[in-house]
Amino acid sequence: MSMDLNLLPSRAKFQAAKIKLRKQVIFFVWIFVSVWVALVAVVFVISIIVNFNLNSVQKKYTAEQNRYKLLAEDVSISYQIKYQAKLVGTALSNRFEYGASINKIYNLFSSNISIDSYEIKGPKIFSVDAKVINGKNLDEVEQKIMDINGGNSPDFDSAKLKSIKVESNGTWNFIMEVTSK
Amino acid sequence: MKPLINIKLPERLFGLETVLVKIFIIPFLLILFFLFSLNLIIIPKIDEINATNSQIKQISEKTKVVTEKKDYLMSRDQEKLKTEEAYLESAILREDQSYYLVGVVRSIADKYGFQIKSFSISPGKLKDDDKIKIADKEVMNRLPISVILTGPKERHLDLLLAMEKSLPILVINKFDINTSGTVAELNLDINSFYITKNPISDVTTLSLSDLTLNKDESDLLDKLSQFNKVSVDTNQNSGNGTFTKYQRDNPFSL
Repeated sequence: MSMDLNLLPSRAKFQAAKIKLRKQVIFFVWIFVSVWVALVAVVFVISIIVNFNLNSVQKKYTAEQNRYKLLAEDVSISYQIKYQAKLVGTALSNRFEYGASINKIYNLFSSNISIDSYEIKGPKIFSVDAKVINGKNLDEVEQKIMDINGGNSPDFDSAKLKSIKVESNGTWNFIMEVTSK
Repeated sequence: MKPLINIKLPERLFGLETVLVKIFIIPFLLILFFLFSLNLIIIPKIDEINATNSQIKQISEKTKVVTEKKDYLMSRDQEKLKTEEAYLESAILREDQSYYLVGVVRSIADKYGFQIKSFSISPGKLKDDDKIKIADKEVMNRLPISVILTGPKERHLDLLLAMEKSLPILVINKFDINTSGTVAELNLDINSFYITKNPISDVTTLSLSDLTLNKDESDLLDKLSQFNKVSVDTNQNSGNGTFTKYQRDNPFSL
């Protein structure tokens, strides 16, 4: 077992402590400077890498943009198509198609019931003048009116029988008012 | 070596031995330098890196968008594109041409044995109802005409159906029919549309959704492909004579 005896005089002790402290400070300074240099180096290296990446993505973007600009005519056509489709859609959205509606009226019944004429009573409202040769086919008319009023018709909103009369030859004439969808 | 500036310091500074204070001067200056360099070099550089990174991200996203648009355009069938464009171009008139519209109606009527008995156009100031707006922007106007057509009664329905399947688009606003024997007289208020503003914009600013059609628009184009394009020869009265150059000094002389 050794004993730590410092036999140096106090001035010498102070000098030794000063030398030790200076060494520690220099060591600390080296570490500090090393860390600082490393930090600066890392930051600058990252900066260089990031700038290199920026250059490369910029080049890629410019190349893609130039290729896209070569298709300017197609872009213009596609855009015009999109824009005009919107206009045409708007124009057609509120259009009531008389021809298509009248066509549906003519196809309202089977061949047992013949439509003589129709009259336009108002927007979407048609008065249909029709006849049934055989009275038993009137069931079809009744069924059709029930279907339309029950919401089972894709083309018509409502229907009502305005008048009905039977001729001496057994033919039934009726007038029906239908509202188109 | 003799120091450049020789300052004589006292033995003690701030209650400490001057020798000890001298030891801590360099670390102190280093810490100061570090703090300055941190604020003046490192932090600004880190900010610059962050800014560059977000710039890279933005450019990458822009590149992705441009690539998507380019790929979409390259994938489109050129023939189909031109056909769709032609159908849509003939669906809406380019300008206010009431007489052209009468010509369209006449052309359709001719096919079904109908003749124009009379027509009226009403040029002048448009009503607000005649201005069609999309997203508060006036994009097209109605072009109204009234016509009375006479022709065979049994073909009137075919005529109406043909009008509803024609390009330019015709909207029948009012329809009355009077029949006398086999002749029908159709009283029609019709309107078509003409574009007021052409939406040409910078191609680079358009997004992919500005170029692609949604389902409704695609269905509409399919529907339009079943329509008939009606063309009217606007030069039919100008004749086909060849140009003759009269080399006369006096234009009023024979």
